[in-house]
Amino acid sequence: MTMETTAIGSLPHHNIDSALEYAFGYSIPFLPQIPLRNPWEYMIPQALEGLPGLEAEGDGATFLNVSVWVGRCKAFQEKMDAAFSSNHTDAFSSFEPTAATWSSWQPFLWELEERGVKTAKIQIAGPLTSQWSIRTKDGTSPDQHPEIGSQIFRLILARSIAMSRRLLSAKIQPLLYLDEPGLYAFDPTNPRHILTLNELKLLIAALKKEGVLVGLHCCSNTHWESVLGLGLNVLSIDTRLSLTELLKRRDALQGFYKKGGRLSLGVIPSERGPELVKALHAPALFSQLQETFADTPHSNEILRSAIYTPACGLAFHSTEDTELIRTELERLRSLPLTN
Amino acid sequence: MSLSHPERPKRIQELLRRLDQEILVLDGAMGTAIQARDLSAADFGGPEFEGCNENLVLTRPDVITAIHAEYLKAGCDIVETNTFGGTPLVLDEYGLGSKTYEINLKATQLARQEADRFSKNSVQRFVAGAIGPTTKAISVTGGVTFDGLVENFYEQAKGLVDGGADYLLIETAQDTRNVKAALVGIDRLFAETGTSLPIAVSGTIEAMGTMLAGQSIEALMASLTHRDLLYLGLNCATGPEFMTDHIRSLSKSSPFRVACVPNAGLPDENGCYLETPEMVCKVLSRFASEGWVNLLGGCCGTHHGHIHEIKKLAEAAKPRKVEVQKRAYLSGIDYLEITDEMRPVVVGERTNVIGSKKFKTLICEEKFEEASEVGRTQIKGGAQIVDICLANPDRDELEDMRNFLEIATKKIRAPLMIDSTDEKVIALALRYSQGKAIINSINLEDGEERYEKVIPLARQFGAALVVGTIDDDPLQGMGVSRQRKLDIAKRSYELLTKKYGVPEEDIYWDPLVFPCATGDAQYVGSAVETIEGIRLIKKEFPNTKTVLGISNVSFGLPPAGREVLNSVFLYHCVKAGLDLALVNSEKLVRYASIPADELQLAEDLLFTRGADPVAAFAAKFRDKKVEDVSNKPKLPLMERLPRYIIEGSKDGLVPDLDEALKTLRPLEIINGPLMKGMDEVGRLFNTNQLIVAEVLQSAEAMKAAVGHLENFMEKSESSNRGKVLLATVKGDVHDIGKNLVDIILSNNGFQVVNLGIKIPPEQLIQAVKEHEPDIVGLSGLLVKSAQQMVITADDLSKAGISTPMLVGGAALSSNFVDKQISKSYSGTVAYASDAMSGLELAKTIVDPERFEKLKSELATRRSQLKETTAANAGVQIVESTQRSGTISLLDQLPHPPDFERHVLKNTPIEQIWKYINPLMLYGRHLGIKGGVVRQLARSMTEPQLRRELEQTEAKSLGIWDTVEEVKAQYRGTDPMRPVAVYQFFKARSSGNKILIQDQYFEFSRQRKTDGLCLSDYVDPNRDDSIAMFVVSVGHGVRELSEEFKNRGEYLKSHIIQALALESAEAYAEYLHSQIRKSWGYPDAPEMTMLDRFQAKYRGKRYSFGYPACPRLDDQTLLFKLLKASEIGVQLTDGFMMDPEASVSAVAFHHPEATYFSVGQRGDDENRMG
Repeated sequence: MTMETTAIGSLPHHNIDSALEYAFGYSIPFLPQIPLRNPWEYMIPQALEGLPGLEAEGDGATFLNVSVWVGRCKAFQEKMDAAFSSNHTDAFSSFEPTAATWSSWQPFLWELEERGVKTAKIQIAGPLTSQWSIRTKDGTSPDQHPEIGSQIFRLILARSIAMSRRLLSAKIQPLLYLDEPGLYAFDPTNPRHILTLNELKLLIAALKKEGVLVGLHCCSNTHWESVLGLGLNVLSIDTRLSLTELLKRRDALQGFYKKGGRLSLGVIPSERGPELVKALHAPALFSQLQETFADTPHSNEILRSAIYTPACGLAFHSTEDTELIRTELERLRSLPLTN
Repeated sequence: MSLSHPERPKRIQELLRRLDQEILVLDGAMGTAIQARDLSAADFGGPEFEGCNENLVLTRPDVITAIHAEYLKAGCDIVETNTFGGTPLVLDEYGLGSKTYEINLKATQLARQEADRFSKNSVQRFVAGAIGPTTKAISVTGGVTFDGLVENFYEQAKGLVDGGADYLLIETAQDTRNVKAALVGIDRLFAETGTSLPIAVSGTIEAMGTMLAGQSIEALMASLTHRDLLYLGLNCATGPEFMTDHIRSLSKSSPFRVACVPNAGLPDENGCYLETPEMVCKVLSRFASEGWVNLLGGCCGTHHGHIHEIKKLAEAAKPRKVEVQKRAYLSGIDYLEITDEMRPVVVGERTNVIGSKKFKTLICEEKFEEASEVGRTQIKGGAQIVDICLANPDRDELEDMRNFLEIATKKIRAPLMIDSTDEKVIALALRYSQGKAIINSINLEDGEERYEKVIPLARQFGAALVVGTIDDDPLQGMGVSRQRKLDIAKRSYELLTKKYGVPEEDIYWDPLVFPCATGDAQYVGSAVETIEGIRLIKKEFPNTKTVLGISNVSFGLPPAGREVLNSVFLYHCVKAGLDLALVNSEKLVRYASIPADELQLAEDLLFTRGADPVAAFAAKFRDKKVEDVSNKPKLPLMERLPRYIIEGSKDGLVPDLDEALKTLRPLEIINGPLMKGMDEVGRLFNTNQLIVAEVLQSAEAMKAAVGHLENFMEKSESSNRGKVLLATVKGDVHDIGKNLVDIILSNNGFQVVNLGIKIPPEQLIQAVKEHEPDIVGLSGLLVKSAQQMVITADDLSKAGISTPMLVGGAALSSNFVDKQISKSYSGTVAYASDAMSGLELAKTIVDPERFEKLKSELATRRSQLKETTAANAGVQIVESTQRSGTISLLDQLPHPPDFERHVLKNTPIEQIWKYINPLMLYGRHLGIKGGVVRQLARSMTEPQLRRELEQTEAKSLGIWDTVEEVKAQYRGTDPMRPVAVYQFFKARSSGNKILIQDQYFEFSRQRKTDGLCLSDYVDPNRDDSIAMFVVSVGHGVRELSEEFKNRGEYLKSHIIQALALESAEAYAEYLHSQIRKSWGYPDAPEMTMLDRFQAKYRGKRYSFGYPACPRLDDQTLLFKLLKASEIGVQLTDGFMMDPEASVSAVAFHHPEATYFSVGQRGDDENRMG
């Protein structure tokens, strides 16, 4: 097995062509998010586009206008219910990303088909992060309307299914990462968090039933036992920040591996500019990784089956940095595993 | 007065002879030649005549003579009279209409005089009497009547003929109705004077690919095949390159000689035409060597230098061989060739007051606009020709036809079938048709009377004829039996082809169709007679065509069955050879979808099989019905609770939860029975016993349960750990991270005051004083936010604040906090790499013992950092500046024509659209598969393929058509107004720099041996050159797209953005090709667009932000050098271009230039330290 590389999603590129060209340079091409082009291309507006009252301002701020949502939530609910009740394969097509918020979606699909790509990575902000980060314009949480949370969950599920079906219909295996940086706020004693985590579990199950390989990206530490029990195919982490913590959960990890789980290792640190250039040295990164895995059984298999990525989205790097990162990840792929 | 020219017949014979043997050369531009002479108002005869070039023949004949002489000296065979605007209509703009004859006569005499002078000791030179398009294109601008134009052209032609022209040249034709009017006017003159000169027509195809009035070159040709033209060609509008496809098409099918008279490219904003004689001839030499042309010349911007070069290439080539092919074609605005593969061609039958009640009502109410929509709807429904009948005995047919066609001809692009028995109506309708229509119909019912009245009209305006199989037999006029149909056709054919000179390919037989189920004995079995009649006629006259009104066959039958019978009848007629079918294209049932039993009944009826096929058929469709179908459990409490979740039911949930709360705590209920229910939901879902919608109902029930139980949960005992003031710093709007910190801190007992985003230091200072927090948390995501934190920390310190501070966000690093922020703040500053570490730090800060420990750790680390920083000061990655040895130094460097800044504001958008990569627009952006995109592109010229795609790729075709609709709607408006600025610069390289003027670009180099850098493509030792440009299309596109979106027109919203983006890319492609040409490396004539898209040309262009030059901020220098903001393109703070549909690039001529990524590194990367 050759080690695979991909990236987390956001890029600093200013246009679709250059972003796509970059994304297709990875062994698993990924759907680029290019927020520099349009603030609606940040992860939350992209995931929640269509939610009544959602506002992404020109400078990138995302809010929910609750009075607009109240006025239109019923119609929106009916639209989602209709899709979820339908047996048609294109029932979710109206939830596909639009060019206004996800300019690279259509071009990405087309390139995948034209290039005959077998597996492609897409990503969407997960329901926890989306629900927990949404704010009204006065900065408060729209908690008084629990239905907003439900709609966010359903919308993300609908959009994930829509995107996945488009890939599957073109005979491309979707690898969908739920982007959940908000998981570091997860509290296993908070009933709402328990509830939301269960929704996440259902979402993952639903996507797996669609034939999707489901990944989850969390670039911080969290309650790893809960995350490892979600039924994921892939768990994506920032290795420098979380690998040691994760490896301490031996039993949960064993269960994850037994069910075919793979790790997606964010080996490229988040530094920028000259500091990143200094940090980028594939052999050093890899030997560090092997050292961390030294006490882990079957570490070579785990490392060989892992997907290698930057630790996080690259939107705040320079395009020059991104070129270096890709090159370094490509070099890392070819490094031999030592016993 | 008529002046005789005894030598003219001989010259005409010579002209014809030489045109068959060589490529003749027409002169160059007159207008730009006059302009170059910088004449004063007095030269024109006074200020009121300034600009009237035609008047110069009277006021400064010497100038005009000199221009003619210049061209003749350069070697042209034909000079054009200076009469481009010589109609009264145009001359009247200067009050010179009354001098029309005088001006045209004099102009021709001047040209004659010079042509004869140069003929004396050389070969014969000729004079073309130039007739321009006037200032009115009747189909487009209106403002003139057809008959008014006839009169104008008549007047002008008189002067040209009398002055001694050898032929009349109707040139720069933008509207075929104007051409037809000119031909009618000239015919009248010839008839009156007994003179006859050859006539040539030269159309102008705009960059959009059609004439101004919409016709393609093929449609123009079809419209004029009824004439014996000296030649048919193209002139003006574009340079030769953009004429390639049109000239090739014309050459392939024209029954006339072919001429090509291009501009010297396109002018820049100062009106300078940019193509040199060499550049023009490079393209024309291909036309000549391919054998596509019989005549070449120059239009706007060409001068004697161009003509000299054109003559040289003409002498070296052979003229096109004219072959007359028997092909049946029609045209409206669009061209339609009737071929076997496309049978049946559908003729829309609903714009007929006899057959359509709706249409009749609209006409009676004089709602001509809405009535014309009926025609357009038929086209959308698949009709390729539209039958128009306005014969309502209660109304004035002539007026109705005039009013209807005035509007309909602007909406209906397809050929028209003029359906009338009144020749005046036909004559009027033909005046409205740009193209070659079909007259429906003529027959021998009254002997040849109708032939005599209608056929001359067909000949005058160019039209095909529907010929009914009816004659003047007193017993049975209408041919019912197959034999009678054939007999009448034979008689008609003889008359039409021999006596009336109608080309057989213009005959469309109507073998008549009768209702087969009305019970009328004479028509029983008539359907099969019609089918067989078609077969016999097609066998007898294979070069003619057939047409039939299909729906008449089912008259009298139940409505549900009519379309079925029509479809089956049509199927058999087409099998027998039917070419055209009048049907309601919107209602046509697909033959293949007709059930077997219905098909059987329909065929029994058509072929009169069985005892009573009419009754059986009627019974089937009278009895057809639509079926309709429609349809739709107490347990112990700990078992009921999970059932609510499993069943997704909330009915009774709250009382049962209240019951459970009597013995269990809320969290026990959640983690107990409710989670049990959720687990079961997961299991059922995974085993396909639940669907997603049902699972969502379960999640809703769970949410309702948790929402209720929350009310009974105790507050956290640790709810007052401390107060945290959170803010995103000034200038930053990104608050996801901060909000997550808010959540996690709130969930862990901290009281959080969230100030929000973009908080300036003074507001923060005020808030600290007001809330007296234990911790201040600052967040920022942008790079600039890091610096803002330093400023904020400094301001807080100066305000006497030293509250412990947590800072975090994507813009920060631990090092930055330690080195920069901590130095600016009087209190403790700690870096929180994420919300969890933020929580841990907050807990530490509010615990005095742990806080002291933290402060000590921070202090130790920061002092160590100082030492390490000093020790590592020399560690750096060194980027090589060594020129790559793989890129050669060129022996010879090209020289661009100038180093001036050029602004282009008049590049036609249509010209740019030709450079759009369809795979990018229709594929990448609009999602059509690559193979289908290619088919769609072909279907534009292959109607049969289009019909197939209508069945197999209707959605894609719909998208394609919508793009065309958007193009048509926004062509020439701000969103589709292209603008460009380009300039060549002297340049030298120095290491990784390219030095330009007193400034430089510094590019990155690949970190490996012989790594590439863009500077390698520029000579380091001599003055080399690079070109830079910015192109833009799409001002206001985002707003327009939003408008579409708000109207629910999502596809158009997407299309307008995609079209603008790809138009900008296409413009970059086009401009780059012009830049190569200017460098002296024009693309090879055989280069395809695909080759261009694959950059198979010399040199490359690079845009900032791409792998070879990824730093977007380098755009600043490019923008400065080109003064790009002057063309309306701005750089945003993020160095992106606004409008978004803009492309900037640096172009290099080096043949070894290639695309590469500076991110590529080798193991040999240079490291120091």
